[in-house]
Amino acid sequence: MKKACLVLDDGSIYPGFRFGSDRETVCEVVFSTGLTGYVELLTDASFCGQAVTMAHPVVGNYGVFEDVSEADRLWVDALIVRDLTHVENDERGAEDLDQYLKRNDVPGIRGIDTRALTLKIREEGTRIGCIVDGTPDTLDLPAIFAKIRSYNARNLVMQVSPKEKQFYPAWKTGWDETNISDRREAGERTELSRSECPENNSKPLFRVAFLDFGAKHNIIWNLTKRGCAVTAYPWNTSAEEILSAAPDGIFLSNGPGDPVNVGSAIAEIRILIDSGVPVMGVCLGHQLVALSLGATTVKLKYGHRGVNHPVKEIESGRVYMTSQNHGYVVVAESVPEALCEVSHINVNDGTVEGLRMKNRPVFTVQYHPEGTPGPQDNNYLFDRFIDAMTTKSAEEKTI
Amino acid sequence: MPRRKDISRVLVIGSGPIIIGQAAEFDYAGTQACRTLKQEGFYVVLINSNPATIMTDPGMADRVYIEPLQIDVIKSIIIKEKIDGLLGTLGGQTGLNFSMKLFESGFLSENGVQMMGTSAKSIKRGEDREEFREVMLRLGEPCIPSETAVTIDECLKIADDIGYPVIVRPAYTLGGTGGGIASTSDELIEIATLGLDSSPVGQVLIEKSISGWKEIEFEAVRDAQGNKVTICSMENLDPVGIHTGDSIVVAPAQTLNDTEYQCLRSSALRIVEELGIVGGCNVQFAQHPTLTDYAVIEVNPRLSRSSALASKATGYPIAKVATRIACGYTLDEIPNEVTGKTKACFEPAVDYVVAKIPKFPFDKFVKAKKTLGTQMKATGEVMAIGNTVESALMKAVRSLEMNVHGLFVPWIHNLTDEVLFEHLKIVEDMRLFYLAEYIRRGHGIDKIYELTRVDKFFLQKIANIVIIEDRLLCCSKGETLSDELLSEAVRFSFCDTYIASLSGTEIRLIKERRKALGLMHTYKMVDTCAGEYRAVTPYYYATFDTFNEAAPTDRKKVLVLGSGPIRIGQGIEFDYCSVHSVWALREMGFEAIIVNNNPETVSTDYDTSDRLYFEPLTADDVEAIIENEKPYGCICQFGGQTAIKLIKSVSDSGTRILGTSADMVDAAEDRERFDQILESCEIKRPQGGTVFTVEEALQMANHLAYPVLVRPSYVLGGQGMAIVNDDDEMIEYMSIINLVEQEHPILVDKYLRGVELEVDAVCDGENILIPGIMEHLERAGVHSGDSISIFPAYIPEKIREIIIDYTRKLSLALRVIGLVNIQFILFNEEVYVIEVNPRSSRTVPYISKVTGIPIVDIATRIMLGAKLSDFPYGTGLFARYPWVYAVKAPVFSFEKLHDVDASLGPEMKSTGEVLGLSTKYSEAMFKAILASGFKFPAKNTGVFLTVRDSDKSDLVPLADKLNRLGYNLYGTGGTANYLNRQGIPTSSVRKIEEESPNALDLIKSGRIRLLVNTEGNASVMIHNGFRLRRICIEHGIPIITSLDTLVAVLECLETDMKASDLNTYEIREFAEIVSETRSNRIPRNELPPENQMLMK
Repeated sequence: MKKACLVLDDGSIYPGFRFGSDRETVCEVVFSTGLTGYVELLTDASFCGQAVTMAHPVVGNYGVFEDVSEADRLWVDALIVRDLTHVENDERGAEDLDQYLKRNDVPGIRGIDTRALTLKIREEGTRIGCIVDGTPDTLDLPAIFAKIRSYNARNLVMQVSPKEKQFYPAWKTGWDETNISDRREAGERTELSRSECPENNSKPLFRVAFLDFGAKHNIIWNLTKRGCAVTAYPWNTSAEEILSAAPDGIFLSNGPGDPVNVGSAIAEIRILIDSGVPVMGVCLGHQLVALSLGATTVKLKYGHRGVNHPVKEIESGRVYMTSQNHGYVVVAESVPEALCEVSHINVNDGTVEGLRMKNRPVFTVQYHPEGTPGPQDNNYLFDRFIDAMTTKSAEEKTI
Repeated sequence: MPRRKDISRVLVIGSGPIIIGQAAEFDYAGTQACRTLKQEGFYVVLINSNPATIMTDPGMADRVYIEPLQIDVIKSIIIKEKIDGLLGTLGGQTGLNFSMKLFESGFLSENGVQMMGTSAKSIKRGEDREEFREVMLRLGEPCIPSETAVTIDECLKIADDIGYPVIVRPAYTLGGTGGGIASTSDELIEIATLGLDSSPVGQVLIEKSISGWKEIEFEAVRDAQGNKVTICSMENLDPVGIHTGDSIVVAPAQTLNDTEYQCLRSSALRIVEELGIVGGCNVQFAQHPTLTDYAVIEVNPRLSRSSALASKATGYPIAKVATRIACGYTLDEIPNEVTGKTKACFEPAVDYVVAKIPKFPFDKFVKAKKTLGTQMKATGEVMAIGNTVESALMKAVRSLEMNVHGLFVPWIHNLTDEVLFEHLKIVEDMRLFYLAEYIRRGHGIDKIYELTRVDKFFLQKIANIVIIEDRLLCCSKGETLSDELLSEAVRFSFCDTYIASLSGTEIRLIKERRKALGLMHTYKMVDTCAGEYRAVTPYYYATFDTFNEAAPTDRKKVLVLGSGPIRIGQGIEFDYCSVHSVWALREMGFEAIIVNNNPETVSTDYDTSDRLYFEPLTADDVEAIIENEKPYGCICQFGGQTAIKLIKSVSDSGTRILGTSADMVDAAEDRERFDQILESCEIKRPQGGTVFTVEEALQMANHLAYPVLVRPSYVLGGQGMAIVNDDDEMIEYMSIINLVEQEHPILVDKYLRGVELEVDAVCDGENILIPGIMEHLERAGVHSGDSISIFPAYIPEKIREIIIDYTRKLSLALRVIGLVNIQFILFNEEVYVIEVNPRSSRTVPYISKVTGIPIVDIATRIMLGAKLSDFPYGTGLFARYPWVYAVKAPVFSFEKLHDVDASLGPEMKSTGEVLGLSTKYSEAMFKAILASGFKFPAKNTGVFLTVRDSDKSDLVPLADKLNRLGYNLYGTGGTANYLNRQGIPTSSVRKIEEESPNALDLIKSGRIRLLVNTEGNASVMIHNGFRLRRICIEHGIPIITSLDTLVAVLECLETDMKASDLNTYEIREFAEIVSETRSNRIPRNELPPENQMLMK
């Protein structure tokens, strides 16, 4: 058992033990309250540059299957847990989490008083920390603090967004078909799996332009399995290029960091919105739409990261459980009333969870309708996007 | 949405007596419901027959009726109280069944009563197997192949279609009564016969067995607007097939990945939506261990044991929220009281692991079949919270009070490999320990998984504990206990005592070393949100970590020790006492802190006390809490044996004991010291002495003259106690008891077959207050908890004075501060003391309610300096001649426990109790017996009599009465001949072991509706009548094993009362009658004739 410490920028030290990679790392320390879904979380690009503290104390229980990954690689910088479960001779052949992290060079630290750490972040806000080998009395603290001070949040979107356009054909979800029925289908028995869409129909219903700021795979699968052919564009693609492909709809994905850092995309998004093409945005995509309409965003003290956040749809009064992962939020007062309205709010803290434009087929949500990890209760939002595209194309036909 | 205005007077139906499958969880749910309804401004009327509950306390509702839960009684209360709303989903299956009956008969609509919360239609869709399956089919939710049947032939046909093994599940029953797994048609016939009989609608479900799948439960809440959340997932350690009430349960579910978890969660939500639940609902799933296949096992469209567990496991008050929903609110309008900021419309996030372990009654019923299956057998449960699975398990294990602190159990360790393997092949109460032992012997996890299908995750965690235990055991053989090993053990929540005993070290040294290593108890908060929001609820559990959240306040604090799991001999009444003590302390301005580990109870509700420590009740765990809180004092006399046995360690730690001192508690328990006290008070007790060998026993018994009462010393609740009538029986008893080497002597006492009398008294050090004297219907020899108890006792004035005098003398001699319970025997007009317990007793709640004296409240205040003169109840005997009768009757769970003898004796067997109140003796008795679930035989049916020789003459007048009332009498040879000779026509029937046609055929014929059977010896292990009694239980035939009970039953049969004619009494009004009539000089009622018989 190799001893290691988590050192925070305020000088607090949490002793624990290493697992995963032995690499030293400096990153922002956040916490997530979700119970399940550590593989999905580790591969979520929105966590790029962050060490995630798992509030649930026992992690790694069911091992790792990579086919639930939300990206082609791990994005989390480090994993902080109370107690790590080792999986041996798993009945289904799952890989041990420790091995998985080692293989992917992601460091972890266990034996941490994760609740104390969570309370600290809650009270003081997210912190920059360093995971380093050794015990509290052997650490070279000046050197560690120097590293922590030199940490700066890069343009994370630039790091995680694809460099090239990518195509995702309709009616395919990217996974091996047998695996889908094995692992996914039961979890996603939404209206769609029983919808009238013909099976094996290779002809796409719609073509969707997808601005990829670090998207989770399951967002794309939610579109493709609804019959959309998806073209994913790098984050800095111009509106002109996107519109020139005459998409039926435009999707703005999630992504890491402060939306303001993606400044150059904001003006382009405004053009996309004004084009009249239906637009749906989630998480960072939602924030970018707000910014492009003149609203402002602000950093939450410790963010929303978990799978149990209640969100109220104002129109219906209904409350939905949502999966969330964001550190910034749209300022409610800054939302330009003439252009759009707040469609969803967070029941716990009243923050903005969704926007809908008044004269445009544009709607966005702050949370993750695709779940993974987390509830599948909000899949219906993808259906709404499909509906918006259906309406739009019907209108065009009548014209 | 605002609270509904169309309802103003609400009836809440409670769950009745504690039985296996329906325990304290419904007192917790019902109490929350009543308080919430009152807060919302409803006029609340409550009916529950169980007097030991907190919900039946005056003040919990506007009107409280402790009356038999009978449809006619409920109807009369609905009319009398002008009820317009009914909340029936918080009183367990009992409350739900009554609500459905009232609805389906049209009574509710005729009387303008609306059902609040989940509608009758929704309940039916959830409860009725056929309707439920249709709903599942429509939703596309997978179900286990099954069909309902109403005949054996149908059962067989279905089983042939779906293939064996099949599970039999009777419809509308408690805790799966009468169910089981059948692998062959013969087994199916046997189980289905019982199942059809157990179901009130005569219907069973024959279901394909899916053994080996994981069993997962979700608790969900939905409001009328369709907002819905899941509160908690729970995972059974054992795969499907073991009743969830009998399984070790871990929350949240640990082995599901996100896909599986979300899949089951979504399914649960689809189901509650489709059923139209308005309130709480429990959904049980089977999850394939390796594929994504799952199946819905069943739903409970009501609050359940699991919802109580989920509430305690997450801090989310399901019953309270469900009640608010029933009032018309939506989830996003209901505040989350735990955080004070957020709303109830969220899903709790949990940053700890919860383990629940059932408490089985097999320590009492040593011969009962210990195999676990679909029929629940546990009487109660413990819960523990830790930050690893290992630590939650370790804490839960020591909360069970089995004298086991971990997974190493010496007698299991000593089993041969073959025997251990046999134990592991079937599922038994001690499964966790067998698993641990098997791992300890080097069997690999893969192999054990193949054998048991317990998920490898759990086996690995058990193995982690075993490894530490084995390393500690090595320390006792010379290896040094390293700091690293000590740290690991402590982090798994091994207590100091256990580490010391395994490693062969002194406890003191372990404690010192632990502290030197900085391994201190750090308390963490249960806050519903995994720390995401600041919470205000002081609900804590211990870990060994870096940050202690339970910083003590600067208020003056009192620690109250709770009573742990519900078990036979220690039930809900001690939770009642603990809670009342806490409430009194809070009123007095103290910070009241409670320690308890039972998730079913009101005491572990986070807003009962100022601070709740959900921790094991052991010396180590309590000491750590004391170290953290440094309370002004500690109260140990309300939590039953659990708390009182900690008094010495608490006292030794230097903490002030509030109430009777540890030394005096010891004096009352130590035979020699107690004899000295009796002598100094000039009080008699039955003669007796202590013996070790058969020879000594025979000598002692002959010296005292038979019959004698024998028992091992230092046992609780009459365990191993027997009445011995002659030398042969004594030889047999001693040979059995000495099979296990006895450390302590056997006590042999003269058995006095007299009237047993009991008092609870409060003493302030100078004066005593006795609310009332109780008399036991059955003569001494039946455990006081199993006898029918009558208040007030009908005894001559002289005897009454002696009892008051003895109570005063003993209280002062034992320097009692607070409560004392004393049991007397009245024999040949002399009063003997048989037992003194300087603590609260099981009769305290009932006598409190009946007399209107808040006994626990007064006792608590006295412990903190008040005097009896500060209260308006005077001193001495309060209710001397009240013009009322309050009869407490025991309730048994024999039909749940196979191979348990239903014959009553000195060892307690009842699980719960009911109360009958009236100003007329016969009505009170009738109500009590009716409420206890006794089915009075209809006229012209058969009564089967078979009694011991010494009872035959006493039986004659009783049999004569039965005969004249029109019953057909049957008897075994001796009894029948005797009665026939006395001119009472009795058909002679061959004994069960004799050739057919015999008693068995008679019982099967359905002609018998009552068995009266007294035994020559109630406890020596070979019983002729044992099989007869069991067969009657399995056929739903009531059993009477004491002629004294028959006397009372006859009294009821003679008056020919009906449930619909009964007078009902509101409990406060009843207490007022007691108070007004208490000092009359002459009792209004004549001495009941049967009592005179008892007096002889």
